[in-house]
Amino acid sequence: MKYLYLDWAATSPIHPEVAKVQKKVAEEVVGNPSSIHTWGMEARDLLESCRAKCARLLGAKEKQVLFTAGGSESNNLVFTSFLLKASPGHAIVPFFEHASVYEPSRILERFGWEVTRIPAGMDGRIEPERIGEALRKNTALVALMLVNNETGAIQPVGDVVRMIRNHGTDQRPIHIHVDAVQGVGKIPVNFQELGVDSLSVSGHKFRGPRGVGILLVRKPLSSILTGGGQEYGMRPGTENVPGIAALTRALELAVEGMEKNRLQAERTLQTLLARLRKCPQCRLLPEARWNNPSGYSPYIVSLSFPPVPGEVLVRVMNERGYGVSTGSACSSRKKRDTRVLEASGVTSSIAFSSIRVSIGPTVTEEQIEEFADVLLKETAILFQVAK
Amino acid sequence: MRVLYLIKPGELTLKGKNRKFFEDRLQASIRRKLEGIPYKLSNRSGRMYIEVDEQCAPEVDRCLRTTPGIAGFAPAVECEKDSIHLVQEALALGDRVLKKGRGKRFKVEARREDKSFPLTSYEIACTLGAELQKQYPELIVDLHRPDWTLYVEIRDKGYLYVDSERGLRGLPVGTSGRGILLLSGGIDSPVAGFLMGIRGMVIEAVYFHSPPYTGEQALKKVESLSECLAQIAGFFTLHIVPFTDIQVAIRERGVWDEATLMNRAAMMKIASRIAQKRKAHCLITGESLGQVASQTVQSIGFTNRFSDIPVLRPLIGMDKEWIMEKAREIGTYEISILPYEDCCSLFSPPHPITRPNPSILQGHWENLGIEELLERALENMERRTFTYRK
Repeated sequence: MKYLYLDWAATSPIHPEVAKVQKKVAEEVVGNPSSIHTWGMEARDLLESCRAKCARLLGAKEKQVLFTAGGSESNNLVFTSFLLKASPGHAIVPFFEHASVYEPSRILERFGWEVTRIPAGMDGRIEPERIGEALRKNTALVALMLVNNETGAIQPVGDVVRMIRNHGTDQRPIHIHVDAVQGVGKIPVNFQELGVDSLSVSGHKFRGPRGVGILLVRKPLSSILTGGGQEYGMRPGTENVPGIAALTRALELAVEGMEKNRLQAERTLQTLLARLRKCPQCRLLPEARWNNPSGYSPYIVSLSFPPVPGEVLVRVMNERGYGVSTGSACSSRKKRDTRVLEASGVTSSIAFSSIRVSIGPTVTEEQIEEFADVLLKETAILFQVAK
Repeated sequence: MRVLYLIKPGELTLKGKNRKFFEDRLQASIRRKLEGIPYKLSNRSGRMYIEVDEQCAPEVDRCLRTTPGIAGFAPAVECEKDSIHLVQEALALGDRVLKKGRGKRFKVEARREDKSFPLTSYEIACTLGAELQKQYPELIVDLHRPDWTLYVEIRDKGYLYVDSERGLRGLPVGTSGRGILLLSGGIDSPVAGFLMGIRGMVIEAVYFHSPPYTGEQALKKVESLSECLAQIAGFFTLHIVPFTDIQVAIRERGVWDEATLMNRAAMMKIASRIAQKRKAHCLITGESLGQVASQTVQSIGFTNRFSDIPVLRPLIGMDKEWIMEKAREIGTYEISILPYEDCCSLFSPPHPITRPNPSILQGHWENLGIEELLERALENMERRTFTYRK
C-alpha cells in the first residue's frame, strides 16, 4: 500500500536539509548563549545571526524577534501580557481563532476583561466592519489570524489594521495580534508592512522542527514568565539553539521556494477539487470558496460528506494509506469540536462530517488524483451505508 | 519487621456447611494476587491472617482492598492471652496513635471468642480503657463519636488493632459461577461488571468492535476498562467480536428506527453463544430502566428473547447519578468518559422506537437474515486477557 501524508497543517514533515542543520548544531554548538566563554559566544553568535535572518525574512527588526517554543506559546505570551495591565479592558477575538488564542481570551475574561467574539461571514472571512462596530473606548487588544487552520480562509488583516488605525485618534493605541502560523512560509508576510503589533510563527508548519517558533513584537511586552532574562526578558529560558538554527533554515527555504510551491499547491488543489466536483454530495467548506479560490490558502481545504461523520472518513482513509484529519489536530482528540467551522458559516451537521486535507510542496498532482479517486470510492460505500 | 494482617471475611460467616468452600476461594484469590511475594497465610477461628515483611505491606494492603469477600482488615499485634500482655500492647498502640495525632477521643471494643478467658468482653474493654487513660491522661473515652477505636479480640491468642480498613465485602471470586458482561466503553457496563464481580462471579466481557465506524481508541478504552476490572479477580478475559458487517447489514436490510434494537438483539445472541462456549451461567448488562430507548421495559422484553440464559442487570433500578458515583469510586469513570464513541452516528437512528411489539420485531429480525453473519463474527472473534497489576 502507498502512504500519503495529507495533514501538513497539523505538522509538516521536516525538510531533510533542516533536519541536518538541527543535528549538526545540536552536536557541534554546545554552549549556552548566556555564557561568556568561547562555547557560549559561539552559540550567542549563531543565535543572533538566526535572529537577523528571521528578522529580514519576516520584515521585522532584530529586536522584534523573540524565539519561543512554538505558535501556541507565542499566542499565549501576548494574551497573558495583558493580565499585567493596571486594569482590565476590552478585547476583540473572532470565534474561529485557534484554541491557543481562543482559550487565552477566556483567561482574560476570568480576570475581568470583556471579550467580544465575532463570527466570520459565509465565506469564512471576517468582515472588517464587524470589528469596527465592536471597537470601544477601552478596546486594548484585537486578535485576527492570517490564515484559518481549518478553512484556509485568508483574513483581510491589512484592511482591519487600516480600519483600526483610522478609527479615531483620541484613544489609547490598540494592540493588534496576528496568529500567522498557517501563513508564514506560504504567503508573503511582512511585519512592518502589515503594521500589526505582534505576530506568531510556528516552525513545524513550514517544514521546520516541532517545538520552536517566533513571536514578533513591535514593542517589548510585559511577560508573566520570569527567569534568566533571555529573549529580552520576554521569554526566559536557555534558547533552543539547534531548533532555532533549523527553524531559520526552514524559513529561508520556504521563502525562497514560496512562489514555486504556491503555484504547485494551487494546481494540486485544483486537481483535487475538479475531481471532487463530480461527487454531488461533496461539499467544499465554505461553499463560497468555489467562486473565490484566491481568498484561501491553497495548502488547506475542508471538505464535508454529510452524513458520514468526518471521524469515520478519517479512519477509512487511514486504512487506505492516507493521513487526513478532522479539523485542527489540537482539537480532534477531544469530542469533535466544530467551533471553528461553525464560526465560518458552516452548519454543525456539515461541520461534523468534515475532513481537512492539507498539502505541502512534496505532494504531487498525480498523488492527489489517486487520493481523490480513493476518497470518492470510499465515500460512495459509506453513502450506501448511510442511504 | 513483620506485619500481621488480621482479615475479617465478609458474608462467609453466614454460610453453613459450605463455609470451607468459600474460605478456600477467598484464600485462592488472595494467593493469586500475592504471587511472588513471601508471606504466610493462615486461617484460624473465624479470621484469616497474613504475615508479611514490612516492605511488602503495601502490596498486601492493595490486595486486601481489591479482593471481594473481605469485610475489613487491619494490621494487628498478636500477644499472649493474659491481662498483662494485653495491657502492655494496648499501651504501645495508644502511644503510636497519639504520636500520629489521631485525636484524643477513643473507645475500646472487645470480642471474646475464647469463652474460657476470665474477663468478659465488657470487662476487657473497661480494663484496657482505664489503663490507657491512666497512662495518657489526655485521652477521653467517647463511646459515640470516638476519633479512634482500639479493637481487642481474644481468640487462639490476643489480637489488638486500631480501626480497620473496609474491604469490598461481597463474596470471594469463584463462588458464584461465571458471567459474560456486555462491555461497551460507557459508564454503566463496567459498574455492572464490578457489582457482579464482588458477588463472587468470574466475569468475562464481550466487546463489539465496528471498525472503521468506531476507532481503535474505542477498543483501547474497553481494554483499559478490562484492565481495571481485572483488579478484582486478578484476571479478566475480553472477547472482541467484529461487528461491522452485522451493523451494516442491519442498517441496509432493516427498518431504520429499529436498528438500535436489532443491534442489541444481535449482541445478546452472540453473547449468549459465547456464554455457551465459555460455560458461563448468565449474561450481564449495564441496562438501567428507561435510560435510553433500548432500555425501556418493552425494549428489554424484546432483546431478552435473544439470550437463552439469565440476563443479570444489576443497575436496572439505579439512577445515572448513583451509577456515575460508583464508577468514580471504582476508577472506571475517568476511562469511560473519554470521547471515543462505541457506536457511530451512522448506525444510531435519530428516533429509535421505544415500545416495540415483540412479535412484529421478531418477524423483522428473521427477515434480516443475518444468522450467517453472526456465525462468522463468532469465528473471527479475538480474545485478550488481563491480569492483576503488581
